[in-house]
Amino acid sequence: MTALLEVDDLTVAFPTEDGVVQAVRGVSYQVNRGDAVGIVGESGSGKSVTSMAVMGLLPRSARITGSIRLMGEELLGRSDAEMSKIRGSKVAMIFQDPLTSLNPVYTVGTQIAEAVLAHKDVPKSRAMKRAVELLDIVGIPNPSLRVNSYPHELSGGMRQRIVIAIAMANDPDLIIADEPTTALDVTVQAQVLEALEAARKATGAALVLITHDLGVIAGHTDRVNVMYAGKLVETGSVDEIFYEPRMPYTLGLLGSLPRIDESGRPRLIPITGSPPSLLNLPSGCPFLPRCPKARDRCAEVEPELTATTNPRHLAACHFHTELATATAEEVFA
Amino acid sequence: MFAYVVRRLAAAIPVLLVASFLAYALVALSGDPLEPLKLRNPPAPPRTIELETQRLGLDHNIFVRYWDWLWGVLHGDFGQSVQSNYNIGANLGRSATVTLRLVLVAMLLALVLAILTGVLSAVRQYSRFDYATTFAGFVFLAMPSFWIAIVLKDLAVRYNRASGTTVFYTIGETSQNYESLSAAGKFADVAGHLVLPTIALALISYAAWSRYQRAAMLEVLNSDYVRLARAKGLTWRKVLVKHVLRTALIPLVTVTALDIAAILGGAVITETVFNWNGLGRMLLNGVARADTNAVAAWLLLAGLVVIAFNVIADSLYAVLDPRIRHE
Amino acid sequence: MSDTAARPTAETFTVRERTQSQLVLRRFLRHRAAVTSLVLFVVVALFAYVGPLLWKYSYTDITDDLSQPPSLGHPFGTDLIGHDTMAQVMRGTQQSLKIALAIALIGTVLGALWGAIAGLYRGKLDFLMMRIVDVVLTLPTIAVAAAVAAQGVGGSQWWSIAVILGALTWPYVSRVVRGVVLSLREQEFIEAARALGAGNARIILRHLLPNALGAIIVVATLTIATGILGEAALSFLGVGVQAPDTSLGLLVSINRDAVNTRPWLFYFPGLLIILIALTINFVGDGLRDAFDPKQTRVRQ
Repeated sequence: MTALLEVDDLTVAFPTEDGVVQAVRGVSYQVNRGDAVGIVGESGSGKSVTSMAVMGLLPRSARITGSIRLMGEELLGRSDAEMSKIRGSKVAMIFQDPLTSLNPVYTVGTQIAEAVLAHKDVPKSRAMKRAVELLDIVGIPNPSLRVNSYPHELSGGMRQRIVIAIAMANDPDLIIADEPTTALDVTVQAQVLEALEAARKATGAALVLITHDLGVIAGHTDRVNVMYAGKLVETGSVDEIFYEPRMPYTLGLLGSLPRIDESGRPRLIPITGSPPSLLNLPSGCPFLPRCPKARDRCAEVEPELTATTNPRHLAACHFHTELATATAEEVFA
Repeated sequence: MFAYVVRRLAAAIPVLLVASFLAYALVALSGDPLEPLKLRNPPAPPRTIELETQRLGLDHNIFVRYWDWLWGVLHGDFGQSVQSNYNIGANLGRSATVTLRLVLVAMLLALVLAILTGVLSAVRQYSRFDYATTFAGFVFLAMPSFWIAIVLKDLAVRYNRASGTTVFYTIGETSQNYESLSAAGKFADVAGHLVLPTIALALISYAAWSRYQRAAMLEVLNSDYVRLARAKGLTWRKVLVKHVLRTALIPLVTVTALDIAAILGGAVITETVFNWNGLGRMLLNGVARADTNAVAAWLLLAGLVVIAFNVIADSLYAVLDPRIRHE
Repeated sequence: MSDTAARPTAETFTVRERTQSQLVLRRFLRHRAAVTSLVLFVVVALFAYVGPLLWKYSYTDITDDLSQPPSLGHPFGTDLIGHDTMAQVMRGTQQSLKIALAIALIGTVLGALWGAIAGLYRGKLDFLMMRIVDVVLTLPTIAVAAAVAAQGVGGSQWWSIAVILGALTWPYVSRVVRGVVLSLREQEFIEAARALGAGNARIILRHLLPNALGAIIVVATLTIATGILGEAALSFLGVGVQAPDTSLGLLVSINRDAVNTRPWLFYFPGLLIILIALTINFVGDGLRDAFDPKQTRVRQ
C-alpha cells in the first residue's frame, strides 16, 4: 500500500541578497493514512518550510528539488491552479497565529463557508449550514449565533478552533498543523488540541503536527521527526524518541523540558548557543558548535541518518551508539 | 453607525471653530488693509481712513471682530470686504463650485490610477512594471505642481499651434461664449477646460496614493489570512479579489481624506497657471489686499471641506472595517 | 570528556554580531537608488555652495550676452537682460536648500517634542495636543502661508518663509512621532526606566527620542523635500522669496512665460527643484528601509 504522503529527499533553497539560504537539505519522511506524525525543531530548522512545500505555498523564488507524493501522485511541479484543487480538500493546514489567520473584514461563517464552496458546488445556504455544524464539532458554544461573529469578537482559542473548522471543512486526508498552540495561553492549549483531535476523529485525517514543544508531541502523535538546520536528525516512535534518544540535540530538547516523572532531576538543562545560519553552511555536523560530545570527525563529515537499534529509529550522529543510555545531565552538564 | 457619525461631527466642530479663529487672527494681525490708503500720494484725507476703519471694524479688538464676523457668517453675511462693493459670500460660492469641480474630478482620476498601478505593481512586485511605476511615482512626487502645470500647458499650446485648432483649452475655466452655449455645449466646454488642470493636479496625489496602495497591498499579500485563504484552496484570482483587494483598499480611504487640504492648496496653484477664476484667484486677491473677512471666509470653507471629507472617510472606514464599527 | 580539538571550527558557525548603527548603514548602502541619490544630492549642494566661488559670474552680474541659449560660456544660457542663468540657479539653489533645511529643522524639532510629549503623557494632555494638531492640519498649508507671507512679515527674509512653513509642517511630524512613542512606551525598557525612578524629561530625552530616532530621521528627510516644494510654491505665488534675492521657485515663476521662447530659463531651475526633491525622497526611502526592514516576499 502506498503511503498517504511521501516526502523524498526534499531540498528548498531561497536565493537572497546575501547568498543562498539552504532552508531544507534533503528531508525524507512518510505519513500513512490516519497516522499522526510530529515534527519537532527550533524556529529556522526548516520544519515549516517543509510543510509549506507540501502545500505548494512557498514563494516563487524558492528552489525546490526532490519529490513530494500524495497518494502516489507527484505534487512538485504542478501548476498553482492544480494545487488549488488539492489544498483544502485533500491537504489542509492550520497556522500558528490565530489572531492574524482570519480576515478581519469577513464573518467567521463566511470564511468557513468559503472553504466549502472552494471545492463543492453547493448553494451558499448549504455551505453556511455546514459552517454551523463544523463550529459545533470544534466545540464552539452557540454555533448558529457565532457563525455571524467577526474574528475580533472572539478569543484566540476560539479563533484557532475556527481555523481548525476551516481545515476540516472538506474532510481532508491530511491536516498539517504548524505550531497550532504556540501563540495561545497554556490553559487554552489543551482545548485547542482537543478540538484538533475532534477534527481528526470526524474526518479520519492523518496529522502532521509541527511544534517546538515536545510536550504537545507526546500526547498527540505516534511518530516523531526531529529537525535541525534543515535536516532530519532523528526519527522514531514517540517512545523511542522520549526514552532512547540517539542524537545529542534530541537529548538537549528533552533536557530542557520540565518533567514531573523524574523527581530526582534537579533542574532544566539548557542547550547553549543558537542554531547555525543556513547561509553557506560549512561541512561537518551543524550541531557541532553546541554539542558537548563533538570530536574531530564531527567537523569533517556531516553525519547521515542511520538506523540505530531498529530500522525505524534513525539518528544522524556519528556516535549514536554511545548515547544509548545517556541522559541529558550526563551529556550537557 | 449613525451615532458614530454624529460623534465624529461633534468632535469636529470645536476643531473647525478654533481653526477659523486662528485663521482670522493670523490674517488680521499680519497686515493692515488700509496701508495703501495711508501711504498714498497725495495722502488720503483722515476722514476717509476713519470711515474705512469703521466700515471694516478695525477699531475693535480681534476677539470682537472675529465674533462679529462669525455671527454674520452663521447668518449668511460674510462681512465687508476691503474692496467696497465686493460680495464675499457670492464670490465664495461661485469660486467654490468652479474649484471643487476641479478638485473632485482630479481626486477621482488620481484614485482610479493609483489603485490600478498600486495593485498591479504589488502583485508583480519587482517586475519591470513595478520598477517603472515606482520610479515614475518618485519623479511626480518631486515635481512642483505648478511646474507640471506649466509644462503641460506649454505642450498643449504647442500642439494647438501645430494642429491649427484648439484641441486643448489652456486658459480659464470656461470659454468666453459659455453663456450662449446649449446645455450639452456647456458640459463639453466645462469638461474640455478641466482636462489639463485635472491631470496636473491629479499627478501628485496619484504618485503618493499609488505608493500607498502598493504598500497596503503588499502588507495584505504577506498577511497570515491571505496564506490561510490560499491554504483553503481558493484560486489566486479569488484570493486577490475577495481577500487582498477588499482589505487593502481600506487604508486608502483615510489617506485620501488626509490629503484633501494639500489638494486644495494644489488647486490654488494649478488654477493660477491656467488662469482660472476660482478659489485660487479669490485667495490671492484677498491675501494681496489683507482682506481679512474674505481670506478668513476662504479658510473657513477650506476647513469645512477638509473636515467634511474626514468625517465621510471615517464613516466609510467604519462601514468597510467591522473592527471600527463595533467599537 | 569532550574533544576540545574540534572547538576552533565552532567560530565559523556563529554570525558576527553587529551594532544597530552598523546594520542600518549596511542596509542603507544596499539600497542602490538611495546611495546614488545621496551622491547626487552632495553634488547639487557643492554646485550651490562651492560653485559660486569658482564660477566667473555672480548672480547679480549683468553680462552683454542677452537671451543666449546654453553655450560653453553660459552653460545654462542668459536671460533677457544678460544675467548668467547658471549663476542665478546656483544662488537660487543655495537659498532654496537653506530654506528647506530650516523648514525641516523647525518642523522636526517642534514636531518631535510635541509628539513625544503627547504620546508619553497620553490622557487629556494628549487629546488636547492632538486636537491642536488637527486644527493646523485643517487649513491648507499653502493658503495659510500665503496669507501670512503676503504681508511681508519679517521683511520677506529667507528665514521668515522658513519659519512660516516650518510652523505649518510640525503637525505632520508630531503625528508620526506620537505613533512611534505610543508603541515604544508599551515596551519593557520604558517600564524599567520608570521603575528606576526616571522622571518624564529623562525618559523622553534619554529613552524615547533615541529609540524613535530612526522614524524621526526618516520624517525629517522627507520634510526637506516638502520644504523645497513648499518654498517653490510660495515663491511661485509671488509671496515667497522676493527679488533682488532669488530662489529656485522664484526663478521658475518669473520665467514661466519664457517656457516657449527661452525654455532654458524655465527648465534649469525647475529640473534642480525636481532633482533635489527626488534625491531627498530616495534617501528618505533608503533610510526607512534601513531602519525598518521587512524582507518577506510573496508568492503569487
